Amino acid sequence: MNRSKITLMLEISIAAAIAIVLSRLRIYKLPYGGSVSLELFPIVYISFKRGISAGLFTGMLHAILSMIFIENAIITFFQPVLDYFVPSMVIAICGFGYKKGLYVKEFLFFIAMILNFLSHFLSGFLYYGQYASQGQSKYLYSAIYNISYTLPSAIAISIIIYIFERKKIFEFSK
Amino acid sequence: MFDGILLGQYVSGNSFLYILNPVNKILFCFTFMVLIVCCQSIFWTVNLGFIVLLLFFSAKLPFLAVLKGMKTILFFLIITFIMHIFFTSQGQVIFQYSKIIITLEGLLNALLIFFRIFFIIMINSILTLTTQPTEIAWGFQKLLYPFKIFKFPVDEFALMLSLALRFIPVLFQELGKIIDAQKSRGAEFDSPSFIKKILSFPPILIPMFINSFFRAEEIAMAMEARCYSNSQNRTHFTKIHTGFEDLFFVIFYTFITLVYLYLYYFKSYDLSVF
Repeated sequence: MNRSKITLMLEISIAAAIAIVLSRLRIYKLPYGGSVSLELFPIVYISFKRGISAGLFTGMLHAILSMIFIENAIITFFQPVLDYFVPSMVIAICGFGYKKGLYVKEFLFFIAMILNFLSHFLSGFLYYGQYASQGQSKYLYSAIYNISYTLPSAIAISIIIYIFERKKIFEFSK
Repeated sequence: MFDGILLGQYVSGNSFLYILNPVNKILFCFTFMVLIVCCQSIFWTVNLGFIVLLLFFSAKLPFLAVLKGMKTILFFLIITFIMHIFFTSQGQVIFQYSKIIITLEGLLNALLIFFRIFFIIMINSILTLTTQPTEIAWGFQKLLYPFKIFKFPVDEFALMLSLALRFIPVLFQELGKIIDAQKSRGAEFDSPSFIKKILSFPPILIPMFINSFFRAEEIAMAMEARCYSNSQNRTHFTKIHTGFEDLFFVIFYTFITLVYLYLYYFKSYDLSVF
């Protein structure tokens, strides 16, 4: 095993650990458990720096770690897949922006966030939707709740991406 | 702004649940969770929940810790409970006062959902209160072994998982230091404006990322110097033991699952209301 592979492994685990640390550094907190934070940024960072597969592994690691340090309840069997694994792993799409310009990066991040939102939305109306009472629209219930924290997080992270790109930190290596 | 470094819910103790193998506990949680989620009657949900409570209190686990963990979901639980009681209009009316109507169906639905979420949180707590995060990670790693068939790099992934777990406390310390350093230079982190708040993050993030990724390079060098390779079977520093307790526990929950399935599906007693 050569050193570059070991370094890659270490970078992936460090990125996942930073994601957990940043999840505690909240910008705002919502009553139902969602929160506006820069939690997904390390996955974005590693995807831009190392490509898609590294991003996928980081996403998966982040999902398992956030399940271990459990905060929100697991309600059914497939709900953790939609609430933890898919949302973190779709961010790896940013890996297509490897060594590309700012606009490509922001665009890819935008698409990744839409997929992230869709996954949370699906989980919202499939699993939490049954807890919405009759007369309340499940779709609206899920969409409003999930937008309320996905959108501010997306805006915050895209600002951070802009700053990191300007300071050329994505290309940074020893 | 900073929520502190409390991670996991582990409470030290010495009852039988602490001795069990983490894999065993994860499988128990999974089985019981599926049973409770699939159960459509209050009677059987409460019966299963009773067994969970029995396990919980026989192991002398602190109930207060569960309530603390429920803090985030409590609001959600209360709202759904009230919604179901007051906004279900079908079924037999049991209480009516001007426009407020409570039906039997609404009440039963509300109770079912309340019990379901409550018992699932109790099951999760049995795992997280008695097992340290590193042990849970070890359990996950063992459960991932079947994926080796699909050429999933299980060993590398397990190493990454344990490395990440080791790094989390170190990174928390580093984050604290960086925040203090920036504060001493006059940085403001508690501005009410959204944009200003976000712009206060890069002075924390940039040093953190650069420091940590330098460290990755250094650790890789150290690992290579100690001849790290993944060709051999890796051993662990602390061995997690599997004993007779595990066997008894497996027999216990398999027996309950089979009895429950037999009674619930094949001998459907006429308890459909409950």
